[in-house]
Amino acid sequence: MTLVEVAGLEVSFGHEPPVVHDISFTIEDGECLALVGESGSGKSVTARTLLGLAGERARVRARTLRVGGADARNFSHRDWQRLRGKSVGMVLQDALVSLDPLRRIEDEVAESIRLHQRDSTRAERHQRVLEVLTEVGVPEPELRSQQYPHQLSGGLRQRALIASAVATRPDLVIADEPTTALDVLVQHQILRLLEEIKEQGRGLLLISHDLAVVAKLADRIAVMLDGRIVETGPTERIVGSPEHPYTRTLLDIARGRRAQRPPYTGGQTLLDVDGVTKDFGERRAVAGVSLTLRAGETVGLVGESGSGKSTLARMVMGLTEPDEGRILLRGQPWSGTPERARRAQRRHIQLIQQDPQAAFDPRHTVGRIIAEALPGQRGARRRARVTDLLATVGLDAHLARRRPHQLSGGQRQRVAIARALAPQPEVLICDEPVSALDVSVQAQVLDLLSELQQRLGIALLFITHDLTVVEQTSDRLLIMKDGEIVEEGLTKAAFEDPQHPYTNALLQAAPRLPGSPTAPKGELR
Amino acid sequence: MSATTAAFDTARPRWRATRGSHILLAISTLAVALIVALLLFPGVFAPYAPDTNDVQHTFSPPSSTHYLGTDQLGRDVFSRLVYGARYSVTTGLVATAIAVVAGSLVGLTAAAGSRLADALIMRLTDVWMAFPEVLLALLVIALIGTGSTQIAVAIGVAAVPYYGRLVRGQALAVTKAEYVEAAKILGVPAWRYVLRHVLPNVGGPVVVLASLGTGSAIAAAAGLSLLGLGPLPPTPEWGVMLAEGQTYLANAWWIAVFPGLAIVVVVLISTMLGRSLQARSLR
Amino acid sequence: MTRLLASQILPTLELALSAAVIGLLLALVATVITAGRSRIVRTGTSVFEVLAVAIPPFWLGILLLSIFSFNLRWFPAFGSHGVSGLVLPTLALAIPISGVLAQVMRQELELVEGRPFVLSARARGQSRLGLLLRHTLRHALLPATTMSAWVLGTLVGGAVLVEKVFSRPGLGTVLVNAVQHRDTPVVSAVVIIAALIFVVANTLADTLYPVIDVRLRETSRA
Repeated sequence: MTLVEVAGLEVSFGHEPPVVHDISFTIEDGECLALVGESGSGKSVTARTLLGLAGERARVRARTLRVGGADARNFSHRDWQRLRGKSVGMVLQDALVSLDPLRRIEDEVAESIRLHQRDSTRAERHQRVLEVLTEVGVPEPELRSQQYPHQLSGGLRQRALIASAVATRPDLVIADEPTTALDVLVQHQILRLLEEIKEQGRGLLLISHDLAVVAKLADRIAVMLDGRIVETGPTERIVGSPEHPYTRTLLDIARGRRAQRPPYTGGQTLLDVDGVTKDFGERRAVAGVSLTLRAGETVGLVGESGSGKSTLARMVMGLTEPDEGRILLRGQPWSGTPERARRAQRRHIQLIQQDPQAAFDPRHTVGRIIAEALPGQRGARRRARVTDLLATVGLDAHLARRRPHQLSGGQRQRVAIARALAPQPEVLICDEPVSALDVSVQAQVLDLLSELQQRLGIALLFITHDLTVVEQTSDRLLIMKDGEIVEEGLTKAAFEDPQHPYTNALLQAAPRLPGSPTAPKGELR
Repeated sequence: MSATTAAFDTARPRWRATRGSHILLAISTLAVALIVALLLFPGVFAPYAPDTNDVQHTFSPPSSTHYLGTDQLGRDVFSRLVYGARYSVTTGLVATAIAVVAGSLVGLTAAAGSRLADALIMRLTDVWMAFPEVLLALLVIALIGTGSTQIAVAIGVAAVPYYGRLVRGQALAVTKAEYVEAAKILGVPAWRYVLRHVLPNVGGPVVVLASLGTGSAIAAAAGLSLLGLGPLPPTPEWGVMLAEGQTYLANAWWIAVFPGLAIVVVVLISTMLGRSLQARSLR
Repeated sequence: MTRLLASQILPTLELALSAAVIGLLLALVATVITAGRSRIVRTGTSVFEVLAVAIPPFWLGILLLSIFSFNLRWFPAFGSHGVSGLVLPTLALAIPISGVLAQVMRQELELVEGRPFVLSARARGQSRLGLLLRHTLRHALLPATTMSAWVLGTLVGGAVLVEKVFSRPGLGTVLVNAVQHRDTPVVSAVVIIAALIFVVANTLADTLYPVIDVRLRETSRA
């Protein structure tokens, strides 16, 4: 049965140009279609249009718009309300904010049953909630159904959200970035669950920015760019022989196939972290970590959230003092020295953060932000140096007059890099430098960092949760779990022959495409 | 071939909000300029002197000769309001200035001081804020006596903890902000990043609160004068005019109603100014 | 003195509490009626709210007296004659405070309406009213709960002035006389009583808050 049939769909807001442009697709039962694109490509608007949720000011036009067997073009509010949650269920990203924090899991899961099966009794609904929670793999459903979202882990919350979408056994499930906010191991489990939902004979519309995530699950892929579908076809065809250059770019990024780095030859040790430990009350955030960083070298430090990697970064930056152990910078004592002594050394080590917006004074222009890193330079000389630095990171000089909030995410991160380079540091610490950016922008920023490193011979420490980022950039790899380093070695060796079971699990769970430099060896269940 | 579907949505376009706040800021700035002109040159705006009795024209309703009517002594209500701004508005401004200065000192001391000092000051402001502002002002007046200056001090003292808490909270948030940390990482000395980042970012919200607060300080001052604790008749202070006019409410409503309207207008202007400044800083 | 205060505190409390109830009701009605409506409706109500907040209760009292007592003669002008004597002073206090509460609730409501869980609920087929009653209104009530002690304090302070305008017996008369005669002990006593009311209200609000906001209950069971 055809669940969704869309032809010539166009969505616009107010009098602005359309954000979705003449797109057509169908979804059959038991089939998974994936809409892949970056932010602003129109993929989420398209998904919401299928539920009449594109927005108050949205103008929707289509030659054909059939959802659940009915012509939805002239649907009233009431028609949409009857369709939502009954024949179509929807799963959004990050269940912490996608489930009402003030209501019990049971109330959220039962909501669509109560709305669409009005004659159901309380006991029947409770029974069905337990059933569906069990189906999506929530252990102890009796207990969990009486809890609130904040009492569940990220993975359980996402399962509960999926349960709320499938409680009425809808024919079609729309999942909008269902795994984006999750750690890699949990992401793998949720993808397995979505696969089961598809195997039950339901249609699945999967929205994602990540080709590697959808490739395992989707039967067909439609690649979206600027509101248009630029390429569509069976998954094997899209992954195997892409036709559109944008699809190829996305695939290359997902496979980590980028410019080859010359092998690292070695230099003097710039940063020496020796057995540092940091406790916060009862909790040991960092437990006896040692690492070294040499000139011209890139080291990747990988860990999931809560692994202690950000605390380590703060100690390396001299913002937090270690409780035990010591840190040397360029052979000089760095940790445990007074700030007055440290200030003169600070220009040698710089930091790039995940969210550059927060790292800029909102009142200052880009020019002033960069100039702050150039003490002692005035007037025309300083302006020329700012222009220089902007050019180094590939930005036009006129951006110096803008304020941070007027820039795109990628531009902001480039400004952050320019500011970090201004004092000509020898060590650059990058804490999740690209995780807030779109994938193609991520690739550009990573390329920029690699290129700068080779040109300037800086030592880079990459702190990230994303193995792909490390694989593409790092000479050596450290894996951190619960405050300790569990794996250490050359990147290539660690990927091919992981020593620690945790590394192995991370590698297996990371979604990757056939043809990646290091393809998975076995299946993780 | 087309069908338009709609569903309710609360997303608002950004540019509209921004343009709206620009217009609001322009209007309120003009209004503030007008009030300043009233304060400096009341004679230019008022057709009559504030204290000229005219026994022939007592209780005349609003007309083209007396825009807002005359009172029980035949004095022109509009002219009295214009001259009265000197008392009412100035009292509110002085009260706010006292609250801002004292509040900033309290807040900065708490933020910069030791953990014990901070805790002590915060508990003190808790207690301070437990007293309703009007009642606390009354207590201060009972201690220092009645009059315009005393009212300004009383209202200012009652408002101190609100500014103190704001300044402390902002100062702590800004000190921990990543952009201040970024300056530290660059090796910028403490005095310089306090001057360059902390003070301007703490000051912004204080200006907003002061602008919003001036209106309520003016209203509170008028309220205390209404109770007979401020200047005495025949001073054309708005609260005093309200109290006098209330006696004649049954047959001459305009004597009491227009002074109150003047207060409302001034409060609205201060709210508008505060809101538009706030909208600009949030952008 | 104690007996004097005790006899005068009841009329003031009566006035402040009825104004708190009516103010909250007015704010709730305004929020429920206008939530999710078109921008024009919401802009219109927010203009009304700003206006309500800007009006000092003592002047609103004079306005109400002038219209409903002297012109329409619906309510007595002076004194506290049972319920009919309470209506105008209560409204004079309740309308400005309802503006404050409605602003706070609407702001929170609009913030919450942008959260993904609202989209989730709508995607399950929830109607406009259902969304409000089952999801968003509870969130909007949270900041209003936090403010309840402040609201009560402000109302007691405002009652002093409104009592003077309506010539009602209560703490207002006692207080003004005491201040004029620099009778500091009486003033201090009244101020401390008001502060006690605030502390009690605050404690009540603190106990009530976790009932509405489950996130503040113990979080260890996960």
